[in-house]
Amino acid sequence: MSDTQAPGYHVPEQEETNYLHAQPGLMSWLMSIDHKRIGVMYLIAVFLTFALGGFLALAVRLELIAPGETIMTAETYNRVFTLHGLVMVFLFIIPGIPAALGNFVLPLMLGAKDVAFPRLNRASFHIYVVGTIMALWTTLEGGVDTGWTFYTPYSSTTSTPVVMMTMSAFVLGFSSIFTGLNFIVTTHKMRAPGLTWDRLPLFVWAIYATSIIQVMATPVLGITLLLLAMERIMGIGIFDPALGGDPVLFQHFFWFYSHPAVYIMILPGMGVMSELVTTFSRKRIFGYRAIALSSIAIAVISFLVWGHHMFVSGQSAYAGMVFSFLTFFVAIPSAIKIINWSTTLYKGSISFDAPMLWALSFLILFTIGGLTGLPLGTIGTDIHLHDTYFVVAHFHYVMMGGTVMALFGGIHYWWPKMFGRMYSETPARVAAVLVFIGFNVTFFPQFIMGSQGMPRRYYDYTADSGYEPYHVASTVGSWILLLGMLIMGLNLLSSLKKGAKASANPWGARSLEWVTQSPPIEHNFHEIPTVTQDPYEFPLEGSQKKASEGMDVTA
Amino acid sequence: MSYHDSHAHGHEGHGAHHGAHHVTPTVVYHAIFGALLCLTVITVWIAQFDFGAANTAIAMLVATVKASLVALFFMHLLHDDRLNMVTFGFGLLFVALFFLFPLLDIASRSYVDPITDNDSVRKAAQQQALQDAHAQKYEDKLSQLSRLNQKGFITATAGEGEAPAASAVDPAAAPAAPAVAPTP
Amino acid sequence: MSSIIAHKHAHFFHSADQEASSAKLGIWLFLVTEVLLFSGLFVGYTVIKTLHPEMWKVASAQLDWVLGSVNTIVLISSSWTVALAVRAAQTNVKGENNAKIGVLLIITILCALGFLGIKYMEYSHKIHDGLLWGTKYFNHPDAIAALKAGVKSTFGLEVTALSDASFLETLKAHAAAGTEQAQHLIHHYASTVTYKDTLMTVEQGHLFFGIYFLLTGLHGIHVVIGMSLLIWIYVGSVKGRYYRDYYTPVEVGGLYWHLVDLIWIYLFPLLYLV
Ligand SMILES: [Cu+2]
Repeated sequence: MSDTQAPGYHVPEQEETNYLHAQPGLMSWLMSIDHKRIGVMYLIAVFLTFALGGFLALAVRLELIAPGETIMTAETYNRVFTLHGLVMVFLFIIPGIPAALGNFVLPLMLGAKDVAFPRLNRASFHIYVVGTIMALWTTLEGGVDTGWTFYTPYSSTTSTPVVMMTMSAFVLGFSSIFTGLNFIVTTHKMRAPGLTWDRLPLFVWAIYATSIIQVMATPVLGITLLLLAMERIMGIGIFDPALGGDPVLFQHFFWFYSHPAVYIMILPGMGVMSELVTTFSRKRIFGYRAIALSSIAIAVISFLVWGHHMFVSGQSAYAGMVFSFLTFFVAIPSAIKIINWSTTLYKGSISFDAPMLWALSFLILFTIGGLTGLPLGTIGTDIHLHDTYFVVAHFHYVMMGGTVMALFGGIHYWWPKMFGRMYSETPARVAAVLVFIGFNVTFFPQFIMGSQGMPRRYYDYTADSGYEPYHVASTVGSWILLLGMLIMGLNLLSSLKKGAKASANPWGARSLEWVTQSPPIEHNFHEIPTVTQDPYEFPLEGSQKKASEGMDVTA
Repeated sequence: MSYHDSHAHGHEGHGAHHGAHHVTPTVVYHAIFGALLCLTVITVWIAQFDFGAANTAIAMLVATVKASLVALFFMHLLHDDRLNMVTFGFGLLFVALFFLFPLLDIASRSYVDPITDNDSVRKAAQQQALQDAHAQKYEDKLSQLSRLNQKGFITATAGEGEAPAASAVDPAAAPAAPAVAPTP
Repeated sequence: MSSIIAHKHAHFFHSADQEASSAKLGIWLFLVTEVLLFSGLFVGYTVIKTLHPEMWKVASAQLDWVLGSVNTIVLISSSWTVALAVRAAQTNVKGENNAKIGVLLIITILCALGFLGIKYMEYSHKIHDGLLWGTKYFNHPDAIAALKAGVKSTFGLEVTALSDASFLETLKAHAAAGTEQAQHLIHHYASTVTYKDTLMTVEQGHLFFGIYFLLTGLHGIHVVIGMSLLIWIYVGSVKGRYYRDYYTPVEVGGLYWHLVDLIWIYLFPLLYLV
């Protein structure tokens, strides 16, 4: 065996019809059961919803640039920030990495021809589209003004179309469950010969842990939203104090799903990180087992801490203390990952290709986001910081600084595999740097004004409150973000036409998706590879070779 | 490369594979059915006795025995791939967590609240109440004076503070009644 | 017809075994999601019961435990027959068991129909008695207003409260005189609030019946889904699709049906007995 890609694997010499051209026509895409096509369709969908959610965020930021009414009324503002939250959470970030990148990459990484249930996979995408249409329809009917959290009793009494919106989220939940269920079964049953659990790429481990949460938590969101709808339609009353119910119970129900859901959002990003950090420092990942198992630990511990969202809600003080105590435990596995990635970088042969720039952004921003979570999980300090911009800044550092950076890094990393073209490197790097700067300019001031008491979700603030400079900085930062995103999007899109042809393994990475041609053939592999090594075996450890120069080792 | 010569192959074999699917003897199904019927009779029969708080516990115990029989034998968990049992057990673990925390909250709400209920907080609250009462009196005096001034000492109270006509309240509709009130 | 249609596994699986065990793990994961879906209602049940123990005692006594027990036996029987159907498919070599699978599935489907029929009877009793959710509950101001309006238009009686003794006397007089409407109202009035031979006003009873209808309603939807699945599987079994080497649909449908039974095993004592 002496091929130039990865020792032991055979890559076809001549290019054959790839999955993009296997069948012609729009319908062949919409009705496709090919996991790669479904992944690409999800990718397009989450790009669009991200654009919509981002546009709403820009509107919110612009409104807040000065005290008083700037561009919209208070009622519109409530609907806009609610929709921003709903779109970003349910339409963009939850399906973002698992359904788009995961669908494309996971079966390839496993050396499988498809996921275990391709029709269910297609159903998941179709359900996602239906749910999205329902959400947008509600928007056209005026939108809801409850915030994405739908807290009762306000949500059971407001005149905005809450039932329609909750049903949309209910439907989207099924899409999420089907994706998760599919990935769990695929990971268990469809691995290539020799691909043992300790040889699985860490991205697979992360997606597997995510899937556990999706399957275990999402049904509870379903019943929560169903109960809320029944509260409005039938007047059941279990969340209504006037009818003898308990409104805090709704928050328990909601956060049983929604705290683990933040790990549905971040865990896949952590999986992408593990791939990027090791590939672009040409070093074997440090602490493989610790990273893999910490993903599972996060999945389980995330179900024990939801009450930290309810410290000021009327939950009993004892429950609050228990939740506060348990919350610190969930920081441990996240910290394990950060430390292992940092150690992997240490003395590595780091190349600052665009995916790596996104990964480094993740490392810095997620660390800040994670650490600022601790004062929020501490019951005493949370009383002060609760429902202020400190919280807004914290979760944007984690969700956007974490997941979105990882998503963009992953998109750049797998772009050549997905579309067979290289994007141009310079604009990609410029975009990554601009987004990093814009992000910090937008969100860092929010930590400061939050700690000074600026409440979240407020439409207005007074001129003498002293918040104005921070709001101005934050809004200007959002424009820098926009610029960075536009450059990135245009660069990627133009590469589809003008980009140089990508080789099967442009980064010199070691997992199985790089063993097949770029873009892959319809059934992924001519011959299912047999795995004899782990995915991070870099023989070039310590050498000066850069990832972008490709890898030409002999076994 | 064939699939079957690799023991590290990606599915966890547990007897259920390679054609040898476990077939439960018919008599086992009949026995389980009989047991389920008996347990149903038992749970109905035992419900007529009042054991107080233990009522629910007993009923749940019987139900769990029944459910286990169905899951282990009718649903084949006992002789199936262990992974399926682990999956189901994992699900039940999360159900337990879902019960645990809301009930912990509800059960401990009536306890003393350490945040708002201690001596210094209580003293501060008394102090505040006193101050408020003084402030209120002062405010009242002021407003009375200003009203008297405005109205030139005349009709100081006429037309003001008129209570709304007492409305007839339907006792059946009033939610203030105790949870269970015997009626004639 | 005793022959079989041989099954060919999907191309992305390397063997029929891999396909079957994947399907099995998939359905078990799906059953877990169903259990978690229902668990939300069970948590709601527990919390409301903890908050209103006295109301719960009186309200839950209004359910008919006999009908509940009959339905339990019906569901257990159907679980038994569907388990036997799966076994018949497992041991089906050349199609000799096709008829047996079909008959067992038909019995299961009939049990499902019987369950729904009994449930329908229970529901119509509750609707008749006004033992419903939220504003529909007989004790709710809206429902009382509706009842009063009915009494006024039928008998010309002005009622201040349902607990008004003279109102009951007047109604009884009308009923004795043979007025059907009055008999109906007396039934409504009396039967809804009897607990241990005493007439009761059950405040907040709408919470119990809200949860009752949600739990049994969601369960009922699952019965309908499970029944539809079984009908589809029955059609396949008649054609001889299921045999020793391929009976995944029978097994998966059976597992789903057992779950419907499992949930009822908990619902029955929780709602009818304790
Ligand atoms: Cu949380």
